[in-house]
Amino acid sequence: MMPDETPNDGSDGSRFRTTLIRVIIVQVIALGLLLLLQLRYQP
Amino acid sequence: MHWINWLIVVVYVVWVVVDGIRKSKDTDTVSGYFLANKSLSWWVVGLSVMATQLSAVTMIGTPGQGATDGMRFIQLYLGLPLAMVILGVTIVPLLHGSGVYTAYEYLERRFDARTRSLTAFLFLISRGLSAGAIMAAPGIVFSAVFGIPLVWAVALVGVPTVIYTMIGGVQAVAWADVKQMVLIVIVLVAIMIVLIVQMPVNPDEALRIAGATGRLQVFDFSFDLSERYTFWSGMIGGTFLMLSYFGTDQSQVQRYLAAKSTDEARSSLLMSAYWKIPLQALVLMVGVGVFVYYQFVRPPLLYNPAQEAAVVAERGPAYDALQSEYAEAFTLREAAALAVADASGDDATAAMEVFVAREADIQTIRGEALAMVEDVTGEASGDTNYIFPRFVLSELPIGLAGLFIAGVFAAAMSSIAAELNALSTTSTIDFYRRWWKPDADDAHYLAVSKGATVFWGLFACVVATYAATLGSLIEVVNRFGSFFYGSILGVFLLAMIPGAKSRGAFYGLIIGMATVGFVAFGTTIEFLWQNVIGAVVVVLVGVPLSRIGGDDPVDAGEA
Repeated sequence: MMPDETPNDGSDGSRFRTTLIRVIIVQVIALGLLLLLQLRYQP
Repeated sequence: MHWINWLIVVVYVVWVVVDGIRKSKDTDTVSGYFLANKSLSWWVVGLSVMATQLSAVTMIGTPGQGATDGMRFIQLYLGLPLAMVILGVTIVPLLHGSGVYTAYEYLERRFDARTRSLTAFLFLISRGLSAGAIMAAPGIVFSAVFGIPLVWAVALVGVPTVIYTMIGGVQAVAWADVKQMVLIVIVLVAIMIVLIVQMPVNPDEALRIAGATGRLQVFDFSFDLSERYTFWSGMIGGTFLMLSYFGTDQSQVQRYLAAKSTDEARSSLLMSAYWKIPLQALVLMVGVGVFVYYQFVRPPLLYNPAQEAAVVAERGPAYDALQSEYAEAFTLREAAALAVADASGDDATAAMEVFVAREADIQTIRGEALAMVEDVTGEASGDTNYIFPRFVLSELPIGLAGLFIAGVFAAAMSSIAAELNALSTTSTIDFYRRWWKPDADDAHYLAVSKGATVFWGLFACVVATYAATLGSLIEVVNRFGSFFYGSILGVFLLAMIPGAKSRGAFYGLIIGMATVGFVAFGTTIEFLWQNVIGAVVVVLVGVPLSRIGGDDPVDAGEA
């Protein structure tokens, strides 16, 4: 039997989605800036 | 080195070691020594996780990578944020809630002892080798600073690290990491500001010069398995690498096992998810900045002072002639760089072509110098890892250079300490306690663990003297890891599949490793993809093998 995990009342799922969205937003901004750098300065 | 720099280094190192030893209260039990009695807050664990991964290799090798190869290395980290989120809902709650000391201990509960032992053994090999590569980085700095052989420079870092790791356990390691991260960020930002202020061109012109030689090529969207860094190898191979490294490597797992709760453990990983890519971008940009800076201030022809001294001693006249050629080529390249900075429109394209040609001339002369090094010393001559230390020691203001060296020392010590701590924990819990002496008291296991710390410290020192010549250390560390990580991750993935059995895990792991071995030595497929291949093979082999034969014995892991 797998070790007991915290009972899933659905809040874990929504918290995961919220966290995933926040992480994606921050990374898109960071990577977007790097892409702009490439497009602006790479011949 | 100026006395102020020395003072900064000594004060910082003494503070870290003394504070680390002071934090060794409650380390006279196995739980206190290995897991800090699960008392660490999420931000301490989070900074410790980031610091463990941000070693002196990042401080030294990555700017060197940026200076020679540009920004594309950042693609290796593209998968990290997603990996952290996935781990937060899968392996972290599983391991934190199961009361284990090591990730591999969990595998025995799930599968059997042989799967645990084989996986732990592969971890010991891969982490032992990586610890050596990580120890090489500060060794390089100190051999450059003090002009001493690499082996003594490595010992200078290794000995204090072994001491506070041995005495303080994971608490000492974690709190040293917190100090390290703060110092590293301060040092990097300060160096970037100095670069911008001291360059004779403005930032826009500097970026144009860097872009002319491809150093601002961040993303490569081609799907070519033999191309080292691409968007796809980073997103796919990188995700698997990070899942395995942060999810199954004991040096990271032990960090979040020490967190107060599963939620705090999850939050600690999210810190990396948010900040790792921006931080790596900063480190690489510092390297790119050094490249631009050296268009206007002539850098050494050879960056490794020991190699340069050997060539001067044996081939003085020939080296002098090469130096003259280099000086002339540098003047021409400097003029070409200024032309790129000033040009616009169609003139810009022509100016860039001239600059690229002048840069190629410089690299040809450098190639001749490096060939001389190989002739004279009989050793491989790569000096990428010396570019940034030489820049810091010769170009930065007094005080900042000392902070940088303190930062390198700090980065090295915290990463090496985490590695040694994990290696000794796995050696003690997964091998000594499991197979040799299962019923001894805590004092006995702590003594064994301290002995194991010393052993792995010596092992790492030996590997370090070899690793320094293998090229960019940041690549060496990730190449070592990628050989093992995919297959180890595959075993943990199997653990989450209902119905997977110990037979499937054990033989799947062996076949996974064999497949990666073939790919590594028999094909041109680049190392990031090995993580994917290893994991996929283990799962694809392990699932059907689990269906053959009967259930696992009762005293093996339960499904």
